[in-house]
Amino acid sequence: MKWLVPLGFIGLVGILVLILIYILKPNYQQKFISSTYVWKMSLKYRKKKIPVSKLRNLLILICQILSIALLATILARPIIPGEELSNNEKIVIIDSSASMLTQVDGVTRYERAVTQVKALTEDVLSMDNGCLSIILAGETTKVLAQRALPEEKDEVVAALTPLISDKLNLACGYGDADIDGAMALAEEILFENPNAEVVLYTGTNYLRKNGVNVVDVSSELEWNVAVLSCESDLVEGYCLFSVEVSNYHGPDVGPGDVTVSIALENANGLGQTMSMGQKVNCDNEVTKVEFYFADLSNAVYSYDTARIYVEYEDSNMLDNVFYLYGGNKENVKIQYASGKANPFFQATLLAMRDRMSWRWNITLDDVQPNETPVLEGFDLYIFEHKAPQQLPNDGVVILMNTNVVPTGLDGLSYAAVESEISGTFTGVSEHPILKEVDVSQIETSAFFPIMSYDDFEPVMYCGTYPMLLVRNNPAQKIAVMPFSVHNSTVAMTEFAAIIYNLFNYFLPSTATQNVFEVNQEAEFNCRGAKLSVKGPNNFDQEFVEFPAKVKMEMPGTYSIEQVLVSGNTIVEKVFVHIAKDHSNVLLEVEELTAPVVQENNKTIDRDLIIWFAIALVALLFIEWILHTRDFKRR
Amino acid sequence: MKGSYLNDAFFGRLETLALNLRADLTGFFGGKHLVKTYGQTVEFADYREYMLGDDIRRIDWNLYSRFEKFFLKLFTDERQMHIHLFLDCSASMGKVEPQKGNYAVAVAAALGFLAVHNMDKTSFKLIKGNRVEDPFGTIVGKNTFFKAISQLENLQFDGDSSIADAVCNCEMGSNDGLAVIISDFFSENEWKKAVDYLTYKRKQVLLVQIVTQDELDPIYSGRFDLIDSEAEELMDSRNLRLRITPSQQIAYQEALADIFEDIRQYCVSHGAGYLRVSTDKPLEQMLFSELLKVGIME
Repeated sequence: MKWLVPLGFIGLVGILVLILIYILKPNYQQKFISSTYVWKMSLKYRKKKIPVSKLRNLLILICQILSIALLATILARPIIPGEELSNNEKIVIIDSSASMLTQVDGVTRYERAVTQVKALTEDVLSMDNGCLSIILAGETTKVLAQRALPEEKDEVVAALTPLISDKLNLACGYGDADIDGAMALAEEILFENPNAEVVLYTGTNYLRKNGVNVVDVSSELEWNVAVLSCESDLVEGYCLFSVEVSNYHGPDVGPGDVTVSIALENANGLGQTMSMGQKVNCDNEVTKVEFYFADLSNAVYSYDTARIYVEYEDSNMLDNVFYLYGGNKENVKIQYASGKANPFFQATLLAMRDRMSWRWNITLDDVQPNETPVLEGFDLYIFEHKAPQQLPNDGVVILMNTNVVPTGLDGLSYAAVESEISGTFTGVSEHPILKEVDVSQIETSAFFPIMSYDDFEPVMYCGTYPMLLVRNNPAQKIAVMPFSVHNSTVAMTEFAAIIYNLFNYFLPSTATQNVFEVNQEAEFNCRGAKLSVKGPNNFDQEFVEFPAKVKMEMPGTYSIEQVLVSGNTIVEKVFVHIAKDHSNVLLEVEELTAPVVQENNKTIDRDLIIWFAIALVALLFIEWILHTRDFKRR
Repeated sequence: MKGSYLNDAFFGRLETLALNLRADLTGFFGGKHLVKTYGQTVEFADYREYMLGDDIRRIDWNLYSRFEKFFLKLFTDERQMHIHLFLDCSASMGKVEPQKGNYAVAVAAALGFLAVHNMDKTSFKLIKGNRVEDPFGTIVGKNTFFKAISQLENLQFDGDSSIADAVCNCEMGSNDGLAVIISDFFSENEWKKAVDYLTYKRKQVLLVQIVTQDELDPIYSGRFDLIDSEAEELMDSRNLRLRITPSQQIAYQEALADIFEDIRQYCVSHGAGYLRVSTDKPLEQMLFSELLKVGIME
């Protein structure tokens, strides 16, 4: 408790006055009465003082003394002082983004930041009321030390040391820095102590710092030539590469013109490497450089790997090379065998081949009604009207309008005769196979009723009979449609969509893109039983459930390996690069999100005058009650 | 002193009442009070045998014819009584609280009126110091009574008084009526001597104690110099320095109750009537209720 006006205690003199009054009080008043006879008689009757009365008188005196004491206390303005806040508390945020790996003379920004924070720790925690919090702002925020006190100095320093002890494996991330998240954590600490200073160690130049102490750990000697991105396209059948490059540097640092090179491995499938280079001036701005392999001498229409690179010993080596994979289309072989020639179906397959030519190199093999289809060597087998004796086991199988169960296909049985029940189709909602298919428009007048379909997933129905069954497991990938397009009203567009969706369902692309940013979540599909992803720094993960979601935290090339139904193993690659902003050693950001300091009630002085006033009223009330009882006794 | 009690309406209400005195009293003159002796009224009382010297005119000849003996026929007698009203005129009766004096005078006047109204004699005997003043003498008849009352209203209550000395030194006949002492009786037991003396004189005795509410329940507390109204100076032994506390007040109540009980016991044991009235109660209530209860009035 604290007193705003201690002079108010002078009022306690009133207690002395009260006691003096009690001592000096016996002034006898003169009272004329008719006769003192009875009073004189009463002296003989007077007994010992009633203890209760004595106690009551004492209580009255105590109440009066307490009342004066309370009054003096009220005059002294009692308060409970708010928590005293330290002015020596600091909240340190260390930017742990990829930009902090920019180095000069072998020392990264991150190392400089951690070293400076260590020194700050020594300084702050050497003070009596020093307090320090350290937040690492990486892709996610991490609190290294929370409101550490001087006695925890050694622990804090010990926690900082491992961050930079392994020079080849710094604790700094390759992704973005969640500065906003760090500021949110800082807000929690600021709520406890609004006087705390927020110190951000970063190489980014914030134009408006909003009260945050930003310590610049960058160096004027930093410069960086970076390949920021690359896209490829086929223009008139030849490869065109659009590359974004930039040369970030300060005055008198770094090269002038920059040479950007590209090397295409296994160009045109011939095992050769085709190269090209360009000199470009891209000082502190993103410049697009195009490489078009269309000359007769170096015409390229396919490749395995495109490596775009700059050969400089700059401050950030992470962005000196950029890989582009997927320059070759994958081959897919489809066999279509029908008991009756069906141009409708053939046209559908041709349309699908054209539509997917950007990704797949599809080979169609038509088997004439009088020919015997082969049962191996294809990625997709389509049997219409006539089922094979033996089920192929090295690819996807589509059985349409057949009523014979091939050997090797378990769990499926047909009715003996074709049903002539007609009806409209219904479908499972939001099934990927029915994407952009309006099943309500499809009717059939005859089909082979399927009596049992264990381990199959029904997708379409006619009444209660399944019209499309799929089985998609690592061993078998089968679709069964027990109706004929001849007996149905299925339109070309609907049927093409179903076949296209079946193709994507059973033979999905492994990755939707070949280039990712660090920490971007990638989804990988598998056409076989399992898939494994291998990458830099011994990254190795295996997946059996798909689509597999992978977060790649380091830049570099990642290999995706999978075993197909046929038993063949294929390997595909994707490239992970750091975000463009982190290549910019001169990056400027308009505004830094400053933490919001919320009012903390702990720091507010609590006025106690109301409580003392209540106590005073209560005491006066008690005293009044005691007096009243005294009166009543008379 | 001008009391508010003594007016025509007050006396008018008293005309319906009469004093009820003991039958063993005797008076000298005819009056309205039935006595034990035989007299000349028309109301038959008894027979007795003729004795020598009796008036032969009172012989009942009818009985003689039956018994051949002489019997006299006896009749009841009614006598006039003398009502002595002793009024304590000390300062304690009205100096501090005039209402108390007014009340006492009114009680005396009421009893006196009842006496003269019923053809009795009365006399107001004012106790001052150790003697009795009888300024109006024996009062017979209302005219004389009202003259006396008009002077009595100006009575001054002052000084001290000794009821015993005053009453015992007072000349009065015996067995001839009622003696009423009107006082607060807040004195030593010397008033008992007065009762003894009056009893000795075969008077019917009635003590009327006048007290005020302040005396019955004093509400003051603290430190006081209690000045007795009869004290002549501050250092008088009757004055009292006292710290009145609740316990003291309880003791006061006990003492007061004992005083009242002592008076009552003494009166009962001596065949005297005792009536205690508080000045805060209406006088009519005292007359029409308390006196009837005591039996002194009918």
